[in-house]
Amino acid sequence: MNYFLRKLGTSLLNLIAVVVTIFIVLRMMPGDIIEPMAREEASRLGITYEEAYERVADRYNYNPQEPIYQQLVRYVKGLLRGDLGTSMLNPKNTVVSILSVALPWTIFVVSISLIISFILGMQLGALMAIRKRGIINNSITFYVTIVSAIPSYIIAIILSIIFVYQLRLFPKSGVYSIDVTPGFNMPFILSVLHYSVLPITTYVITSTGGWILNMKGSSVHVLGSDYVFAAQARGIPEKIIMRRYMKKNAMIPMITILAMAFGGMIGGAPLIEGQFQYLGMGAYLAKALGERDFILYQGLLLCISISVILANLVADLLYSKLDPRIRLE
Amino acid sequence: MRNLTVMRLRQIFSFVLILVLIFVLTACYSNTGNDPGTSPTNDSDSGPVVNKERVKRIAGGYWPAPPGFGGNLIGAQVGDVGYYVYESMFLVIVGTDRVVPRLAKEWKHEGNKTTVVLHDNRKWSDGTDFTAKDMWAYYLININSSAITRYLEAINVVDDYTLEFVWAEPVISDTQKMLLLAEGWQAVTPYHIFGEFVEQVAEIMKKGTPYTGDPTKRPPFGLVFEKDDQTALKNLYNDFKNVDMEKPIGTGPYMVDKVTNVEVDLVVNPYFPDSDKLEFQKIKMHTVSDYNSLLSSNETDSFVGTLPYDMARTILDASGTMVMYPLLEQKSVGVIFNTRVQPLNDKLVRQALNEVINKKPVREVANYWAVETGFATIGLVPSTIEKYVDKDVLAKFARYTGNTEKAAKMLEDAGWTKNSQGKWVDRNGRSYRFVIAANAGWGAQGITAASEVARQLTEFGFETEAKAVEATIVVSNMKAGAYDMMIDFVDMTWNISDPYKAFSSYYGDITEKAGIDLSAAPLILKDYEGKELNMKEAVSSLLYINDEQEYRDLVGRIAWATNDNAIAINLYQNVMAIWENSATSKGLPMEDEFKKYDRMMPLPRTEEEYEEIAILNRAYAPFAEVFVRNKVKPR
Repeated sequence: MNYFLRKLGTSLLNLIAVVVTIFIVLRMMPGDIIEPMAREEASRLGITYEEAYERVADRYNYNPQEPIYQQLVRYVKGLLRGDLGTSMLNPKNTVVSILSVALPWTIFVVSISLIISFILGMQLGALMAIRKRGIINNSITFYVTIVSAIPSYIIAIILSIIFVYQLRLFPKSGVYSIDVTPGFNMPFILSVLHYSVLPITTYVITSTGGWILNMKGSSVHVLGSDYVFAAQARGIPEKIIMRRYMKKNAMIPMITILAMAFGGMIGGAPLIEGQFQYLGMGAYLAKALGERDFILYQGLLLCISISVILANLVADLLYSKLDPRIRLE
Repeated sequence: MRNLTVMRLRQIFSFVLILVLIFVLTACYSNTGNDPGTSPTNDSDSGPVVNKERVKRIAGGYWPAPPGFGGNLIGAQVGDVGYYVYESMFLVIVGTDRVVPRLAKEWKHEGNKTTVVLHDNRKWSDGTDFTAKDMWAYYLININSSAITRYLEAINVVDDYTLEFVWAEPVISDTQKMLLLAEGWQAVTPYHIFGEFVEQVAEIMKKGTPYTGDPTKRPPFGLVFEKDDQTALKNLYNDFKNVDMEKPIGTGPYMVDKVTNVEVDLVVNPYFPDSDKLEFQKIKMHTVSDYNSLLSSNETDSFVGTLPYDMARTILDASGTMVMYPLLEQKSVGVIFNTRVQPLNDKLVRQALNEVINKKPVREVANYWAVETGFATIGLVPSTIEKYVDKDVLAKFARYTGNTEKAAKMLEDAGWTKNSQGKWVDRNGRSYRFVIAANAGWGAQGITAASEVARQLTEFGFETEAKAVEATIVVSNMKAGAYDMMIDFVDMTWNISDPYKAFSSYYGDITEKAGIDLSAAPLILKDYEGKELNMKEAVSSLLYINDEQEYRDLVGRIAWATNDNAIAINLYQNVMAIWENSATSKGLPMEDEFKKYDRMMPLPRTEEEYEEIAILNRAYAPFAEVFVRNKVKPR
């Protein structure tokens, strides 16, 4: 219980630090987001810059002249009421409404790709640990080297060119067809699957390599342990040693990484989601930054930070469950 | 161990096989006809593409993704969809400034009044009659956001289809009246939806008192309000902005059918006159991240975007049917000098630096199709100068040709010399190192232009460095003296190319960036006859000149003085590219010359050609003019 409370307390402190840091860092960024828009408006309407500035600041519900502590107090009060603010560019979009749209798509794509890449990574990593030489090991090493060297967005572009524009098998962009009605119906479900294949494939191709290497390293470490040698000396069949001794123990740190990876991936991959215009957290994050919609940006960052903190908490608790020594320490 | 490996391999292989099967099965889904991106069909393997459904697929554009999408234009819910949904009383064809009536049937200027009679057969897309009150609603609710209200005394609804615009004294010229009446969309605020806000604004307006101060700072409708009323107006506007409508309601030829984050389907507005005769019955707007692939694979019918020459050529070759039309924009790209810093506060140095730059290589790397100008900077859109300035006056303008020997002579005459390292030093022995900032938001165009200018200046003897700078800090840093020059738009207007618009933008925005504060002290320059001109006053007076010759005379003087003052280098007048797919549309401009130019068409050679191409660009035709004209048809 003490361990749980201590971890919970640390997570809460992290959360407070994150809220304050994101808020201050965004506001300390040089430049005035209203200025370029005000200049354009002044020039277009033939009014003074000062008047245009006031108008644009008012339109975007943002006043950089307001003291930062006042802004922070207002922001925290809003947070306590569950209000993350409203998009500066579109007053109809509250940050919460955007999260409610973006988060499910990201969770959908990320969880499927994480499961696939995790399973593949575990199997291939263990295989590499068992077969340290040979064509299989070399082939996997070659694959890992290649995908580690290519940025994810390049893979996304390559997949797009082949499967979207050449073979015309998958849609160009989006999360589902405009011709289906969102809801629990077969055309919508099939459409969602159809639109998610390429983002998922990109995630799987780019993240499997990391799992393979992690699992290989962990498995090799386990294979060198005394209890594995003892099991071999006792004549326990190789199949059982691999399954019960090596894989089970090698996967303990992997489970922790899995929880943290899930938290990290909630932020989406802006470049992957951007390439497929997949309406997840990453796409919104990139859009908010590009348009300098800082209210939206800070809301999305906060959500991502919370998921990472939560994932870390889950990982800590999970780890202590899987390895009792952690709790004792 | 071997058995174990084989078993594990089998497991992995089975898993991967399942994944591949899922991949293939989902890929097959695209053949079920549910995919929205289906292309127009080929009737035979070698036959022409047939656009049986009369659909126009338009790539690009912006609209808020649901749930942000809605029907309130002022609430930023509509985006580029508005180009097809909304109309205005008049339409100005950007570039030629030709005013085309739309919702207006007749109009008449008499003294300080303009009477506009609207068509009486128009309806909103929800079936409600469109009347003069809808137009009145627009001007009242946007009291502070519409440029025209500053020149008006009042707007009166005479009857259901007649509006009376009462102009403030001194009355602006008829040309300016028309340009103001034609600016933007006005049929965007249906009275039957927004009436309660409009009536409240009208009530508050009754409390306003007449303004008597500086005419250049005249408030909308010449009314001054108490603080409480100002706040009430502001709150009303904010409440109006926050009104949420499911879909936009307009009077234009199309209306929104469905929306996702990357697609909008527009169908014909059944209440639009002769809607069944529109050649394109459906418009599909779509966005992707990779427009090059989209164009190369003919997966769109229309797109607006400028690309480097080699990329454009590759796309045209790969596509086989796309056609690219370059079109002059009402903007020039240039280098603005920071006159706050030495030696750029010296006109002679600015003129010499203008003479140094060979604009051709800059244009070739930054915007291949753009048009170079021989001027320093004129305040006008360069392509309009012959239209507004007499030939004999134009002959007096200084021209800059990239003649480095002439530039060196100009500096030497001013007491400059070259030191042992070949760098220029002024008469006090001081050498200079320049920094040119380029707005990073411009992408390659800004920094490539800056780099080429920097290379040429360095070669000439002024060590110069180009920097890409974040958009939100570039101007403030320039004002703080961090840069000696910046790449920006010069000699431009936002939509109408009329000289007043261009000059008023120049003597405000460009001069401020260059370090000339017109609010602190008047800028007095000399014209070609040595006559002094207060530039801000001269520009303002253009508004009120009705006599064409008098107008041209003053425009010529202002442009000449601007060119002489040389606070910038106009590198080139920008060109945008408009892409159309000849496989799915016919009746495109210059159709009989596609072969001759291998579908990379020349710049428009006549005003008619210009207009036909300009209306293909949605941003240039606020009304979906191309669809209504029916010249472009589905193939």
